[in-house]
Amino acid sequence: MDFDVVAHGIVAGSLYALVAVSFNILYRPTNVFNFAQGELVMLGAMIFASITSLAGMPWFVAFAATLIAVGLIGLVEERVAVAPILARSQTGTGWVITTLAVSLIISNLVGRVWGPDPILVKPPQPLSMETLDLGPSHLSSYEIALVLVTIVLVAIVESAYRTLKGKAVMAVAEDREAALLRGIDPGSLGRWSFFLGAAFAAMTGILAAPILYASTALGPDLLLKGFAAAAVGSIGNNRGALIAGYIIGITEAVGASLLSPGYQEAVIFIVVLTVLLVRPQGLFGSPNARTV
Amino acid sequence: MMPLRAAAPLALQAAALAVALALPAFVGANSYALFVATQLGIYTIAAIGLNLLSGYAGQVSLGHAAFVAIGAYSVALLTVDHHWSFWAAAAVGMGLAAGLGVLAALPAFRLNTWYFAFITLAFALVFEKMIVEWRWLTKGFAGVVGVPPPSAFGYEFGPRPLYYTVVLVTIVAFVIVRNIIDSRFGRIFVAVRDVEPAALAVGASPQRTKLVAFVISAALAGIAGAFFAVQKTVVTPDDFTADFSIFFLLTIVLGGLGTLWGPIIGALVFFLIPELLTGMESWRMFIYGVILLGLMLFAPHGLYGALRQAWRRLTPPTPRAPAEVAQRTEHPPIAGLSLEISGLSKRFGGVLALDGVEFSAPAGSCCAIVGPNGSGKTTLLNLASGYYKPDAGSVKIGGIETLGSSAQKIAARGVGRTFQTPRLIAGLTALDNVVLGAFMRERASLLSIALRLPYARQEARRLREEALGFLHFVGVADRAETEAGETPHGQQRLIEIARAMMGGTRLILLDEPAAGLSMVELERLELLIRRICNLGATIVIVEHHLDLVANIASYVVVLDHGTALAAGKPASVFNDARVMRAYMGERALQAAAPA
Amino acid sequence: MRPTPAVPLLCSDVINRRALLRLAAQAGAFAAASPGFAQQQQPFKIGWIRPTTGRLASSFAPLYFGGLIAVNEINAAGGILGRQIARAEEDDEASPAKEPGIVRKLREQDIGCFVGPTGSSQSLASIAATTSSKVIQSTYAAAAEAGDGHKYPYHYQIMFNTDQQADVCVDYMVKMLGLKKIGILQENTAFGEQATAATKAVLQSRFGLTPVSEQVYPIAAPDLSVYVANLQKAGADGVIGWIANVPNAAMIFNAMKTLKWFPPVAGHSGLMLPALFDLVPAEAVKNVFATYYRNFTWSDTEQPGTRQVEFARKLTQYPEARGFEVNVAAAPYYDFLYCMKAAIEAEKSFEPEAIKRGLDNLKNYKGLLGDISFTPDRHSGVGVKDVVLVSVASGQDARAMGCMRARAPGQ
Repeated sequence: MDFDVVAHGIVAGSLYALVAVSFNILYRPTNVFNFAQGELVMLGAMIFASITSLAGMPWFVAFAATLIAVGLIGLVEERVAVAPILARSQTGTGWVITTLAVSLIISNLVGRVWGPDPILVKPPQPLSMETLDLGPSHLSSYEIALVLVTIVLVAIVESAYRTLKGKAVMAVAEDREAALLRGIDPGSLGRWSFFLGAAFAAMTGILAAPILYASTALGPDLLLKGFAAAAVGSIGNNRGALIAGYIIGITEAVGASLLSPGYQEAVIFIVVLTVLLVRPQGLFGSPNARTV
Repeated sequence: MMPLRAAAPLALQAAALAVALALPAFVGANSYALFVATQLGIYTIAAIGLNLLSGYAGQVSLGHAAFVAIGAYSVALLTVDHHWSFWAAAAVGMGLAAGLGVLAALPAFRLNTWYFAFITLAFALVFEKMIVEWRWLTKGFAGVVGVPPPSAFGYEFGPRPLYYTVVLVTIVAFVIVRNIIDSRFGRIFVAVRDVEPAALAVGASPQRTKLVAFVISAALAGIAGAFFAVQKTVVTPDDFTADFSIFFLLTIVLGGLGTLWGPIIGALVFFLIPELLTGMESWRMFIYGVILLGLMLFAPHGLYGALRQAWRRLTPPTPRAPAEVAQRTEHPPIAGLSLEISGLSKRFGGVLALDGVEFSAPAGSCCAIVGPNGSGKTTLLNLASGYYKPDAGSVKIGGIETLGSSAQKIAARGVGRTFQTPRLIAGLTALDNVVLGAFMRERASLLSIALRLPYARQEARRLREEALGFLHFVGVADRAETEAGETPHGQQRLIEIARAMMGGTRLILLDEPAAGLSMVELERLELLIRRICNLGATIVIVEHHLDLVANIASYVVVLDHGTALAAGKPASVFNDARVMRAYMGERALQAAAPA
Repeated sequence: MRPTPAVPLLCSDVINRRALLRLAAQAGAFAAASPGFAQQQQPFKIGWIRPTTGRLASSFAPLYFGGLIAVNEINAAGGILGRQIARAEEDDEASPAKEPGIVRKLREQDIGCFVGPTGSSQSLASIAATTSSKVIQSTYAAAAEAGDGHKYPYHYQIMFNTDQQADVCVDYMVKMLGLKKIGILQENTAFGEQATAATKAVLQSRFGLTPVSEQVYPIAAPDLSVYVANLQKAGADGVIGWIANVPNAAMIFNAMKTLKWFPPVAGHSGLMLPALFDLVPAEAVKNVFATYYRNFTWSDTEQPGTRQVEFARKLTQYPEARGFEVNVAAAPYYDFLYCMKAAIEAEKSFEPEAIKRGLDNLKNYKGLLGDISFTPDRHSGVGVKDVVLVSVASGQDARAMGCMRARAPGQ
């Protein structure tokens, strides 16, 4: 077993974990799985790629600008496609269709702005995609940085939920009306979480671009694997998302070295399905005790 | 004279049917229009199936293309490589698709709706790739070419006979699904979708229900796939992508998920829009997304729902026919079941809800469980009826140990219950909700219901009359034809009781039935409970209304923090100092000193 | 494919459509400007099947450019037997399921000749329907069976097919470079599958060799280094790569750079797209060759044909084609239209049966892509002598003019 294979699996897994975390951020106060998430990641990558090649803006400026731009798009999505559904009923499920519709709209609009070709995105100085010879594995400085940054980001997000604002979010997730009665505004929290979740997704796209190339086809694959990582790691649990991301990334990498493409997909699917059947609440969640 | 509100839709349906049947007479046999119309029919057959699964049974599936693919590949491979007749191959395809439907149903037992939807999406992607991977079976990317048309009596089907066959199958599918929806199956689908506790309470197994829904919808998709293969004559893996599955669901949503005509309208719109959009074709998907978004925001029941609402607003409402006033039928005596609970314990995480509780309700008695909030009353009821599994102790119903049985099995034994918040199916009428109670007693098979055989029709009529009788019994007969979601809270409670009685219940568990009732309603409730008790059923009631309890219960148990504080006749229990302390606190006890 | 733009190509699809519309308008304008002809002769309608929606719409669009140029040129020169060509466009969404319906729709308008569709499974689905309707058709499909005149008597393949590509690549690797241990790297698509099958067949029948490794990769994979590493581990001296899109190619060559392994690579013309140069360092593509048409190449001793140079110059006037030139040049539709014209003029009739006769009898017609010949049984018009391997790196040479390339040594 090549350590190199596992190393690449961890790199890919970090990306899936980041997508899963962005899912979780959106999910917490709204209980909505955003089917347009993959498109938001893609938008982050594409907008960033275009800005850096257009004006040659420094990396960090472009980074911030992209995050804000996509965050706003997420906000628009919340206002138009999610809030009205939630307002009708807490347990409404129309958001599946509306977020799917948003993903349709976005993916068709981007086809008009950008062609199908990938745009090269270079990592920020001093990192690069040049691979370093680290004994048994070949990773670039950028890939190593990516794995570390992911862990740091997950830690930051987790600690954010320990603050009062973070607890408020979890309260809304538990019971929207009760939280309202305690003076917490679920509407504003919902808006913020979509803004931040979309910005986080954009960031994931930017981080993924040097490795996966910024192209309009980036969305669907990341959507599915990110969702898988979120589900296996228990929706809402970011540490779980990180570990689940690694599991999926490594499974994929190992499968690639051993199996033909159809079976590769099947193996990932079987792993995810098995985990969910054995523990329907994910690896790290607690089952819902009271239902009646 | 039929009222306008009902007449026009019927006329429209008849017109649509006429157009469908007359079409081939007006267009050439090889015309594009006939080709598209045939495709539309095929699409509709599969859509009707998916609507049954996702709309009525609530199992959102983003991978339906797999079932169509099985039907298509079965027919293609069997007719091309092995020279089977189309009809035999189609039957095989349908069977295999139904088999996959059984497999697909299994995760639905364990996963909640959205995890399941995601799994179906992942499955769709894997399936796409596996068709290619199994190239020894499916011929991989190249697909199967040259599928021959069906033939009967040595006569090969041209485009016109094929079209008529497809139209016929579409009509049959529509009628069968409509019959199923109108029956106990349809009701239990909706119950499992919206109010699972209600399904359990009438003795239905959610797993079996989901299984039935999957098998029917998969079989329909399989037939659609069979026709797909002969019409296209080329079957490739590219025809069954995940995109197609998602899109397929979206078109049904567009038409109206969970409505009978939704899939037909959705399919029509899907096929007509590209024709109307010439010049703007590249914007098609974008327009689709926008329409969907708009619809979900303003017309959640799709185009059909929007049309129906608009129609209802424009036409005068039909005067409601008064429910046939049945004479006060004598209800036969009920052989009550006894309930014996001993040593019952249950822990929720860190909270010990029940700690070794003893309770016994002899057959035919009326007993009450009271106690402050959080004392474990509802938990006790839920454990007794099988909604939760206890950590320790025993529950005997009619002398038989029920520990470990599922809620629906216990319900099937003759245990009925109501819930703290009434669990009715909001979209069905009060009468239909009550008929649901007889779920376990209905004998008509799925087949006789699908075909509307006389036995099924008679049984349905009988049950409706019986249900009406129960509605009378509880005093809500005037609301028989009102949607349950629109009846006042107090009456919903009564309907729940009627549903329990409809199930032939011998032990009724009532969970805070008096909550939220007005004075008048309280009196009616008291009368009702007395009448049920007089018929011989055992009643166990959890309540806060001590007056009501004092009036009807012969035996009371007071719970506090999961243990029984006191038990006995109401009068003695309510004067017990410990009880008073628990309810009103130490200070009030001092204040009320002289007992 | 476009190179990384200095200015982002906003609304590139719209610009493309505008360009196409412009070309199309020119084609139509001549019908109006020549009143005598328009009044006397009905235009000759041909079906034009291409995707305008769907993922593949923008990648496939440039492939029809050549056809549009041909229509313009022919119409400007007076049309075919005095009739102007008019195109009946249909959107197939790059979906095979749509093809039979489109065939019916166009047949209802009595149209007997189709250009397109593009894509292997799309073409096969369409050909299955056009064969029974007896429609003269040329599609962009590299599958060898599309050139089988016996199976598909009305379809004409005017581009190299996978058999010829495999032949040229294997020839170069084994005969020219003397390599015996060949590894195959293939994308998981119909094209990749057919090309690999053809490669293995040629290796076996001509040289008695089998590949040391066959790696099949999914197009959406995040990392392809494991497949490259597997090839290296199997001891491959040379790689035949059936890779058709740039991101995959970039990942593969970057993986080779990481492993510091630069075997000679021969493969599909998709490797020639200029966008690759931005994503991959020069040293990685020094030894990479792709299949192409001899007429569009130069060598130490030969120059590209004058017609082809003219064509390349014409292309430079269309900014929308920048970065696309090889795709435009390598498409069959320019030559198809001229071949049809020749066949119609020879038979003096527009009837499909007559056109078929004319095409079947076409011998050594000087097309852009090479000498085109058909027989009733052999509808693959391009001869293998007109298919060569070219150096991918030469795309950056000034002589490239967009769609020319330098021939690999010994071709």
